[in-house]
Amino acid sequence: MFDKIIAKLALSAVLATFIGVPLASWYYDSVYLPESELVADFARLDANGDSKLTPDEFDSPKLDQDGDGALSLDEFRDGTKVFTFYWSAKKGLSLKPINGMNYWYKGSDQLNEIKVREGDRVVFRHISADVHHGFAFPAFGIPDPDQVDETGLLYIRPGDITKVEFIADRPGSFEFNCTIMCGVKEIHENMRAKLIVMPAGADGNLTQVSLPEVDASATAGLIRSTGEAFDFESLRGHVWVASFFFSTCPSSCLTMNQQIAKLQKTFQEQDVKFVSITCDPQTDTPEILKLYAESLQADESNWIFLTGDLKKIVEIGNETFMVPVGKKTHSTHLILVDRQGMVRNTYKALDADQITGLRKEIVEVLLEEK
Amino acid sequence: MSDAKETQKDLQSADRDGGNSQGAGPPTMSVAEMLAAARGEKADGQQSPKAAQSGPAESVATPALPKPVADRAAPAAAAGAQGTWRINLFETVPLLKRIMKLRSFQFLVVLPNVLVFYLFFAVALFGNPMGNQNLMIMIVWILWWFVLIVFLVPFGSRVWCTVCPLPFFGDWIQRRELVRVRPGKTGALKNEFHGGTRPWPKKLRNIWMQNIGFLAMALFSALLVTRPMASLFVFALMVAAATIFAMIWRLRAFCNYLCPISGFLSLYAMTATLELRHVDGDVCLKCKDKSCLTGSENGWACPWGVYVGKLDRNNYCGLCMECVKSCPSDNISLFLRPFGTDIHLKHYDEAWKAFIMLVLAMVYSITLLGPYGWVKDLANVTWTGNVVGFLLYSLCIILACLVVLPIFHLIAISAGRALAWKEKLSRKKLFIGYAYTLVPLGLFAWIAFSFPLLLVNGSYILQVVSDPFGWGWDLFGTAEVPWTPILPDIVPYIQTVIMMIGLLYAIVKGYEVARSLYQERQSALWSFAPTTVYLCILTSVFLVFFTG
Repeated sequence: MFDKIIAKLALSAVLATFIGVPLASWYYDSVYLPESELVADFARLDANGDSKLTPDEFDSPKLDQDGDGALSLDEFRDGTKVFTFYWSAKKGLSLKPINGMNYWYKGSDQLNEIKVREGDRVVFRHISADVHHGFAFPAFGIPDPDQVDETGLLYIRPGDITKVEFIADRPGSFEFNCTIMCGVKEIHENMRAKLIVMPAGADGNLTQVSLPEVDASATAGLIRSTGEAFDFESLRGHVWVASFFFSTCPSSCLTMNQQIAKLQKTFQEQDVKFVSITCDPQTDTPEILKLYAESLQADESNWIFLTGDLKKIVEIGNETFMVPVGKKTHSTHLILVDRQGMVRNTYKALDADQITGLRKEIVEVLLEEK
Repeated sequence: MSDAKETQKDLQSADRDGGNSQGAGPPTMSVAEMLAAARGEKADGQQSPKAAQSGPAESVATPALPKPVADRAAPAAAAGAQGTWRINLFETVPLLKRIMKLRSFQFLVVLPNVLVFYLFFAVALFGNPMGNQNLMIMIVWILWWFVLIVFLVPFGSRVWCTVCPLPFFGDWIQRRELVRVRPGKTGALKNEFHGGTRPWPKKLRNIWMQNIGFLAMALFSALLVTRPMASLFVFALMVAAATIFAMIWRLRAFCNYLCPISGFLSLYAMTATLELRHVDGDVCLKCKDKSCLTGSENGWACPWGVYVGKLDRNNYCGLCMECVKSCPSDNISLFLRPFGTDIHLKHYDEAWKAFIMLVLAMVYSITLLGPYGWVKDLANVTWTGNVVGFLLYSLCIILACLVVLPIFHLIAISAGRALAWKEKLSRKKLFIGYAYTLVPLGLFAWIAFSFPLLLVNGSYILQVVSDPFGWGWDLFGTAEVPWTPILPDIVPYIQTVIMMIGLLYAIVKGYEVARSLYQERQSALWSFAPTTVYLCILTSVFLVFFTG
């Protein structure tokens, strides 16, 4: 009797196995988990009095409603946008899950930028596909001192979901990156992306973003390789490209500065200046910078090498240009500033396509009325 | 010519290698030959002189070797001929017999494993690419391996084969049933079989392919145990091979001749405390149908090609329990017995299996657990890209398995042969006979290797069970359990104790082998003395690696 029942059910049981496993996994990961996670988030936020939405008002999660890679719950009612980032020492930074199937393939879905609106509550979920990574987003005070360990780093540990949240309280373009040398240098240095915060009401066109203005007063006290004092006020009225480096770096800084040398040649007849700020001022004295400039055959009339107090330099990176800078660690982005002292955009110096984009935008900015 | 006729022709073909197993080795004869031999006849119906001389209950496989212990055991005896005890589990636990006789038994135990394997495949494809965050790697290579080597094999013989999901599709194709049995006729078999009906090539009726398969897998061990995709590739290949084999060759050709896990189990199952045997040999003698081998309306023909009437070793019985169902006399049972009751290797392929497994226990201990970073770098070719280094590493392992250890073994048995000069035995007999000593030693070496594997990495299992894909799930609240190595300081002591037990076990069993080979006790002692020294040296080498 028992055998007869099992025999009748056997085929159904096999089919249920083959259909049930993926279905259950999909449901749990894509429906149940986001729902419970977001409900928990909102419940917590409610307790702090920050969220306008209570669990009772919660309908159902809308998965990536606007197709921007963000998992959002009723995005425009509450303003919370949730992004899940996948970090990998082999594949870089991506919004697409990095898994067993695609991990070994060449090529990557490297993330360059994400967009939110001014006033949005933003939640970042970080998942490591392999090793430990670190996360910093200085423009929004991340990592929070409560989240870091004794090394001062916020870790993205494999197997954990590292969550950070903040309010995108001002429009602009802000960079975040991996803060731990997680593997191959070329990939690690590319593990960075920009958060574009569009003004409320903007339709997503980047040109509508009001960009941060370079605070000239905050930059006083820097010294040129020629030994002269320098501040950014002297650059007002010029188009200029800023970057951070240190002279003893044998790889990315050298590549980046060789790229700038090419740009300098391209725009030598134009009103474009280049500003390179060391993040190792202890080593990079004006004399060393002078030698370094000569080694690059830089024309110092429009390529300015700067040194100064490290604290000041870090402040300039993190607060003026919104890119991560520390002692001997820095963003490899080139920051384009227009004649009015407004940051227009940032470009990855080690990415040929982005450099092409930078050339185009320099031309566009040059064509704008003075 | 119809398939059935072809099969019949195959089955009656006289061109076989003489049959060395009689149900005690991977089937080296056709079913018809086995049937004939089981009945004490030649395939053409004539009385076999050897069978007539030796009697059907005696192995004709190893005329040069003395009678295996099981052969000398009285049928259904509570104690073996050497004073070893046996407990008939079906008599003691009638419920066990009822369960084993259920037609749905194997389906019910295999289906959960099919589900788990399917989940493994999904996890390997879509889960975290790193081994320690991936359910497949943690369960297969840490938990399964530990349970298999420490519990299933020593206590359950080949019980893993009972629940193994790899041949699931192959069986389904051949039987076209998941639970029921189809009576009918397929050649000499009394079931309606579909799929492949060809006999497995005669020259490949041995476990050399399994030996090579396991060795090849071991060369890529660093890759297999750290990359879910590499494990997936191997398991998918095995499922595909098992299925394709079932579509070409009859019964479980893949399990019998290719599956590397099967080869590993076949060797160490000899030590197990569980065996499936006939209850009363006389009943088998009088049995005309040999349903355990050919099948009946109640059970499928033995997928392993084993005739239980002459089954005297665990090596090639996959414990599928079909014979328990098909035997019309209820004459087959599971028995509990002492460790290491099967003590006879019978062929060179089995001896080399013992060499390979012992060396690989050492290689795994060095590569995966040892402090030698440069060895790991050599093994981890996909990460380092050092192809030359990897080839060198592979060559060393292959030579150690296939040449170096066998040479040491040959030296030891040759010295023993010279010392026991009064009673001359052939080198081949001694070589194969004493190779058995590496079975208990190898088993305990693998157990010693497996303990730190679980103790050190066990906490990862708790993590991945809650988060199988590494996607941040926490199904059972254990995803955040930190990595907690258990007793790392005393692991070397545990390994030392295990290896010493293994050495003792090997010496005791080796002496039993020696006594079965030599008439004189003195000759047996002298003959076995150099092998004892060689076993001590091998154990010392393990201890050096384990204790650092």
